[in-house]
Formats: sequence, C-alpha cells, structure tokens
Amino acid sequence: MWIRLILGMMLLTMGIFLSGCNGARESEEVAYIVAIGIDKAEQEGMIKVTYQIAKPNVEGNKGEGEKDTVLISNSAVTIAESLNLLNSTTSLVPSMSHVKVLVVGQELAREGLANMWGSLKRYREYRGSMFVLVAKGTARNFLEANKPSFNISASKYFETMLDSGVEAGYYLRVSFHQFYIRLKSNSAESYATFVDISDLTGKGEIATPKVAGSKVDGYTAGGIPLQGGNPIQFAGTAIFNGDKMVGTLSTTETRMMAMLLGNFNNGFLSMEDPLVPKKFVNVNLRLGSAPKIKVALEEGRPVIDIKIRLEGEITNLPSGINYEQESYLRLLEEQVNQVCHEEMANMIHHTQELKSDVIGFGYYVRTEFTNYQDFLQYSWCEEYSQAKINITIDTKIRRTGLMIRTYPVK
Amino acid sequence: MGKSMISNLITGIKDVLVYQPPDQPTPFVLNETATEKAEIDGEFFPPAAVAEGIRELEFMINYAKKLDAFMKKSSKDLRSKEKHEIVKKIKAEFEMIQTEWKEIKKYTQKNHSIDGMYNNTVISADISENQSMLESIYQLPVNKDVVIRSITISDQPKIKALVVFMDGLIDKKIINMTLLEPLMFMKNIQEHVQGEDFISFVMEECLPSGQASRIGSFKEVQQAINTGDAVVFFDGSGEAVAVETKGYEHRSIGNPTTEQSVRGSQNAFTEVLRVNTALIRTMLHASDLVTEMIPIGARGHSNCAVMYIKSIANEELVEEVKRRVNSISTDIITDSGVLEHFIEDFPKNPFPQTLSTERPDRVAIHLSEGRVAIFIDGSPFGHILPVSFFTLMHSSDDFSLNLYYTNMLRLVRWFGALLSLLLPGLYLAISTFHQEAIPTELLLSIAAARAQVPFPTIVEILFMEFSFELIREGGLRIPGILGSTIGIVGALILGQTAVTAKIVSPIMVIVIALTGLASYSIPDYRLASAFRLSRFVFVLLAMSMGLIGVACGFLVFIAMLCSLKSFGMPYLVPLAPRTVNGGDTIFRSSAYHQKRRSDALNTKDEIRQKDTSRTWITDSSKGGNDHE
Repeated sequence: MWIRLILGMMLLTMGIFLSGCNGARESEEVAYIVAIGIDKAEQEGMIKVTYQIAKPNVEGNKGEGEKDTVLISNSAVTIAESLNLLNSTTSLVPSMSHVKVLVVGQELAREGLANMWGSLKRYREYRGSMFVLVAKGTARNFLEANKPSFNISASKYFETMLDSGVEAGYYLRVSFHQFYIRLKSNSAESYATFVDISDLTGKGEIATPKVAGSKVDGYTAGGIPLQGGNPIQFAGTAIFNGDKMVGTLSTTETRMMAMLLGNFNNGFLSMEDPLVPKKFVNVNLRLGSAPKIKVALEEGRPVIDIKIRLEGEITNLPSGINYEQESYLRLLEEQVNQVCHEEMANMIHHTQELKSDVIGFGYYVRTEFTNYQDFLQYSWCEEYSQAKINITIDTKIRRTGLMIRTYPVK
Repeated sequence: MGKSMISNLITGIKDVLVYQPPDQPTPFVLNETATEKAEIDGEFFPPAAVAEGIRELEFMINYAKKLDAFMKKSSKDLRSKEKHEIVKKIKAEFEMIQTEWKEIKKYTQKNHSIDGMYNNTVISADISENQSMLESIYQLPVNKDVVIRSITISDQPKIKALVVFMDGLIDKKIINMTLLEPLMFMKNIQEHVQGEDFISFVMEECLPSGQASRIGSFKEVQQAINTGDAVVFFDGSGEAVAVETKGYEHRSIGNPTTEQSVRGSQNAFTEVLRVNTALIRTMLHASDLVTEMIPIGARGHSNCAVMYIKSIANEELVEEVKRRVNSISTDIITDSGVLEHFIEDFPKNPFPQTLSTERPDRVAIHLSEGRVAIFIDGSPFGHILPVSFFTLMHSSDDFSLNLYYTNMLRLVRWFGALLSLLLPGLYLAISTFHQEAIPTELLLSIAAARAQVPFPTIVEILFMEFSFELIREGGLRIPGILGSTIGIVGALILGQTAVTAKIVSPIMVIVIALTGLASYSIPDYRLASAFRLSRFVFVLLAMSMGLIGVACGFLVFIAMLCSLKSFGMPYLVPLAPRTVNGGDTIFRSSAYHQKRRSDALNTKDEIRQKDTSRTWITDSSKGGNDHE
C-alpha cells in the first residue's frame, strides 16, 4: 500500500515537473500582434511584413495622443523568417494568437498569395478567424494611417469595424479560414474586404448612377468623399481568380453579392420615384429568405437561375405620392425589383468578365455531375464566364415606416 | 602558604567574574510515570488494575470470612436451640449468602477491567462494601463533587441506605422532595420484604419520581451518577435504584449560527442531548421515532443517541450504524465531528459523509426521509446519514421559498461551488498557457496590470490565497468586538495596498475575492472546506500542465466522488449510479409532486405521499362561481 502510494506520488511529481511549465508564458512577457500587413518588398523576391503590436495600457504611462500600438516592419523571404527577425527587435515574445486582421497590399495580391497562405494556415499560432483585407496601396501605409477616432484600441477597432459591415452591406468580412477554403476550392473564388486611405479633403469623384432608376452608384475604398474622422475606409470587395487578385467590386456590387451569399442584413436603397423621376424614394431592404439559386447545364453551357426575395420598409417619400396605398405600392415594388435586377446583372457580368466566381455558383452546379472527376474536367472557372443568368427579384414592402402617409409641405 | 593565597585570590576573582546560578529550590519537572518506564521495560501492570485486583481479593476474603462466621454460628445454633424456629432463620441467612455467592461467581467469571473503575463489578449486598467501592471509584473524600448521604429508612427493621449523587449535576429540590423526603418518612415495612422484593417495594411505593430504574453493576452506577442521577443503595440488597434528578445548567435554545435561514424554523440544538432529542420530537410527533442511547468512551461515558423512524428507516442501515457506534473503544468523545470520524467509511477523505446540522427541522425532515441521525452529549450538532453530495448542497430553507426562486438560488450555489473549486486554476491555466482564449482587450489589460508585478502568476495566486486564508483564520480568533473591524482593515488594506505596492495585480484580487466569496455560497461548512482544499491541487495542476492539468484533475476529482460512499450509499446518487430522481437533486420540484422517498436509501416505505397529494384540486368547492 505504502509503496504504491509513494510510487504514485513520485509519478505525479515527475509528471508535474518533467512536463515542464515551458508552455506557460506570463501575459506581460508576450507581444500581442493585432494586425499583420504583407507587402512586396523593394528587393526582388522578398516580402515586407508589418506587425502592429499592442502596447498594454499601463495606467498613467500613456502620454497624450500616444498610440497604443507599435508598427514594426521588416523584409524577409518568408513570413516565418520575418517573425524570427521580429523577435530580434522586440524584447517580448511575439504572439500571433490575437491577430485580428491580415492586410495584403494590392500589388502583392495581384501577384499571387499561394506561397504565403499555406504557411500561414499550417502554423498553429495564426488564427483562422482573422479577417483578410486587401489594401489599395500598401499594407504598411494602411496600418499607419489607421487612427480610430473613437476611444477604442486597434484590436477592438478592427473587430467592430468588420462586425458593423453588415449594417449596410457595403463591405463583406471574410475570415482567413473562409478565404483559404475558397482558395483551394474549384467551385468558388476567394474575395477579401477592400480597404484604402482617404485624403480627407472631402473632394472625390461623385459616383453617378449607371443603372436606370437608381439614384446612386457604388464607390470603392478610397473613393468615398470624406472629411474628418479616421482616414481609412472599408468599401467594396477585392476579388480573386485563383490566388491572384483580378479586380474590385464597388459598394453596390458588394451589396448584390451579399444578397446572393445570403448574408445581406439590411441596407438603404435610394432610387428614382417611379412617378416623379426627379425625386427619389428611399427604402430599407433586407433579405426575405435565403436566395434560391439553381444552376442547370444546357448543352454544356451553364444557366443560372436566381430567385431573390426582398422585404422592405419605406424610409423616405419626398414626392408625397401615396405609395402606402396598395395600388401604388406595387409600383414601388416594381421599381425596387427593376433596380436590383439590373444592379445584380451588372455585378454578375462584371465577375464573369474577370472570370471570378466569387458568389460560389460552382457549389450549385456540382449536382449536375455524376462524379467529382467529371466536374473537375468541366473547368467551371472558364465556363462561368459564358453562363447565362436569369434573375428574378420579388420585393414586398412590408412596412411604411412610422408614417402612414406623407402630407405635402405647405 | 603563598601558593594557597594566590590560589585563594584566583578563586575569589573567579567567583566574582564567573556567573554562578543563584540558589533555587528544585524546579518541578514532569517526569515519566513508573508505568511508562515499566511499559518500556516490558513489565506493564497498571496500578489501577493492581488496586482493583487487590480489592477483588479483599472482597472474596471478606466473603470467605462471612461464610465461615455463618457456618460457625449456624452449627452452634443448630446444636443449642430448638430446630424448627432456627432453621427458618438460618434459611433466610443462607439465602442471603447464596445470592452473594452468585454475584461473586458472576464477578469472577467476567474479564477484569484495567482502569480501576470497577466497570465489571456488581453491587454488593453489603452496604459498607458498596460505600468503600464508591470511595475508591470517586477518590473520596479528596473529590468534593460526589456526595454520599447516609440515611436510615423505616423503623422496623432499621435499614441503612446511601444516597449518592454528583453535586452540581442534580437539582437539589428534586433530591429533597422526591428522594430524601419519601424515603426518610417511610415507616412501615413488613419484615418479609427483603432483597429484590424490597427494591420493587421502594420503587413502587416510595419514590415519586418520573424515572427510576434498578441497576446492578457499578458501571451503571457510575453512568447514573456521572450524568446527574442519584443512586440509592440499600443495605442487604444487591441492587440499587437510580433516580432521575438531573438539573444542571445549560445554554438555552438559541438561533442557528452557522445555518441561518431567512425562512424556516429558528431553533438550534444546544449542548444537552435530552434537549436536542426533545427538539426533534417537537417537530416530528411520530410514535415510532426511536431514540436509542449507546454509551461511548471508557472514561467519558458520553451518551450517543441514534434516532430513526422504525417504520421507514432501513433496518440494515440502523443495525450498521449501531454496530459501528457500539464498536468504538476510546477514552472520551465530546464532539459529534470526532464521533463521525470514528464511524464513517472514508475518514481520510476531506468530503463530509454525513450532514452535520444544528437545525432540528432539518433532522426531522431527513428522519422522515428514512435517514438516521446521531447525536452525542455535549455537541450542539446532529449528524444525518447517509447523505449524498447533493444533499450537502441543499440549504435548510430551500423548500420554504418559491420553487423557481429556490432553483435560481441553487444554480447560483452550484456555480459558486464550481468557481470556488476551479477559478484560480482556470485563471492561471488560461492566462499563462492559453492566452488565445481571452478576449484581446481583457488580455491587454491583464498584461498591463501585470506589467509591474515582479512575481509569476502562481506566486501571486499562492500569496493571495494565503492572505485570504489568513484573514479567514485570523478573523475567527479575533475577539468579538474587534473582529469585524480588523477583518475589514485586514481585507481592504491588504488588498488595496498589495495592488498599489505592485505585489499582486488587481485582476488577481478580483479572482481571489470571487473565489473566497463563492466558497461561502456552499451551504455545508465542511463541504466548502473540502472544496477549498481541492482548489490548491487544481492550482498546482494548472501551473504545471495548463487546462490539460485542470481537466485531468477534474476527471480524478469526479472519479473520487463517484467511488466515495456514505454509510454504504454511493455519494453521487442519484446521478451516479443513476437511480430514480426524487425531484430534489440539483433542482427541486414542487413539494406536492415528490411522491417517493429517495430510492438509494432503500426505505421500508418508499411512498411519501399519494399521487394526488392535493385532493382539493379535484374536489368541487362550495364557494361561488367565477361566472356569477
């Protein structure tokens, strides 16, 4: 009995001491990286990696206007090498476990990311949940320009910024894991949030509507006329073909994409008044149900049937026409259908031109094949650009807002 | 001459300079006793046993002398006088001497006790023999507590009697009114009333006392005297009468101090066993509620009360409890906690295997469940057994409050128990091994708070845990008036200044304070201390292996609880092993829905109430109609 007890105790002690506390690391001995930026380095074949490291806010130590993060860049051949270089410049152990965003410079993105992605995915410290952004300029400039105007830290800023994207549907958030899944899939192409820095002059190209009946057209990041606040903008989507970025979608296109992906929460739509085209009507739209997408093959050519149900609420009627009435309401709904239909068709056409199926119609076409090998031979990416698209949009205006009818101003 | 002068000088100087201890009387030194020395030498004869042996021999020699005298006298009588008259007298004397012989035979057959307390000795018919025995037992006349009152009762014939009692334990009024007065005014006794007949005559006709019993051995005599009864010896009788005269000072019934409740009864047990059993009877008027008294302790002679309801409690359980209590062979037990350790299955396990309570209402409820309660003289706590882990997590007023409110409280309690067990371990594991599991903002503020603390987290935890236990333990000993003040000063100032002095981080203070608070949400004091003890193990495991360590530890912890048994009943019943849920495990159901008693107790009567425990629901009422 005693021998067994002593042996047990010895084993336990050995277990405790030999297993070692080497996995343990006190929280203040670690440098928490909140954002990583990757750019092309000036040197050939090298990348420039920028780390945004959070500075723990020691009370009383923070000076006025001092940033709560440090930006450190270094150039290396691989990301892993760059991490080691970073270790040489900081006293703390860098940790990737709290990276919120991965920013890729446009130049690098257009050259291809395949080499990097694998190593990022494989090493356990990188979180699959970090978001992927593509910066119009360089990632370093983007991270530098980021000055959250509200009193929140950089990590919180990225979290809330990407969370709040659903409010308008003007940009989509995509996690590193989602990006990677699409990267290796042959049914869909990757996309990433498009970001840029604004010059804050308030002057920019005002987008003019390209679609009949619509009052506004989309912007891409950096183009939104802006004055004051944080200079960085999240707008639009960078779309990829394989691991190379091929183009961008504007905010309105992004919104149509969100509808097709089924994660369009709500957003305002401004359009011409159906009866008084000079005036505008404003409705708040949301998805009535998940989009119904069917892809059929007609003589080898894909035909994509899209059915979208939208529900809306009138938010502004300057013309004073009584659209709240059943008969007029139909007109309004028709107008929404027509605008959305056209915008969506344009968006899909745009992606078809770029041969980038970011919506993932490829997932729907798989049912047309008896086995996976057949599908692989089909080369969906090529065929997608030739696909025929049928869009049906069915809008129901459910509510008229807090007014039953508008009385003209007297 | 010169030489001696020099040497005298030197000794003189030496005497002045060198320290000489002053002359003192020989100090008292507590030496080992002769028996201890003898024990070491291997020749062990306790002096008390020797004295008892000598007394035995003397006793027998006395008997032999008496027998000799009787034989001589009777042979002389038989020779000298007329026969038929004398034969009658001799016969009576012979009978008396014969009974004495029987007693001696009993006496010699029994094993000898070794403590000099004459536990096996029977009462002698000779009253002076008894008196000298009592003097020897109670160390009279050195011992002033025991009073031997010698009286003579009745005129024809004059019978000597001894009234023996312990001063302070008895009520003088009762002794005077119900014992001395009737005995001393007893006049007429028929001559033929002798021996056993005499005792029953006295008991039936002369003692106006509620409780009086015949006793025959000195063990019983001591028990009676030591617990406050008076014992009356009569000359010529081999038996004595113990009369209830208890009247000692004791604390009155107060409020529960460790099991306070907002609702429910406000009575608590006190130190007197009889008061405690009575308190239960006032709540539970069952006729078959049995109170068995089992004396414990060779010197203490404490009474242990085993209570159960005969028609409900499992007989084997009752037998087992009594068997264990009976088998205790020790000096003295005055506390129910000590008694528990003597009889529980796993005394080395920190988890309590009985429910210790100071509330009569709780005991009453559990007795009616089919459990057994044990009490011991001098302890204001009753122990209920067997219990499961879940019973210990229940509070006394759970059933007095609303169903949903109670269940919310129980949830809080379970959550608190979990926190008190795991929180420091989890905090340590997550903050040092698994930082990715903490929200970035929180992690940054933890890192910021820890930035200027020079010690690793484990040292912080141990330091704070130690301080908390110190405040708890020290606070317990601080005299009443100062208690709360010093507690507040200690807790506040220590916590506040430890943070400002950067010895611990503020978040650690939160963790420890939360843990400390949570551990007091566990209703059972001993369960809370078991949790507190286990917590340190979890901290060590977290330190060495992170969450894996905590998870492994928790597994072992659960396995340990599963293997634990309380008086033959699995500790985690009804969850492991799975049995019928009585509706009062983690959450409780309505009292009127709990049809069955706990399945694991295997009671004689499983049904507590009918399915329709509220017949008024189905009966039509005589009141007005709602529609009118």
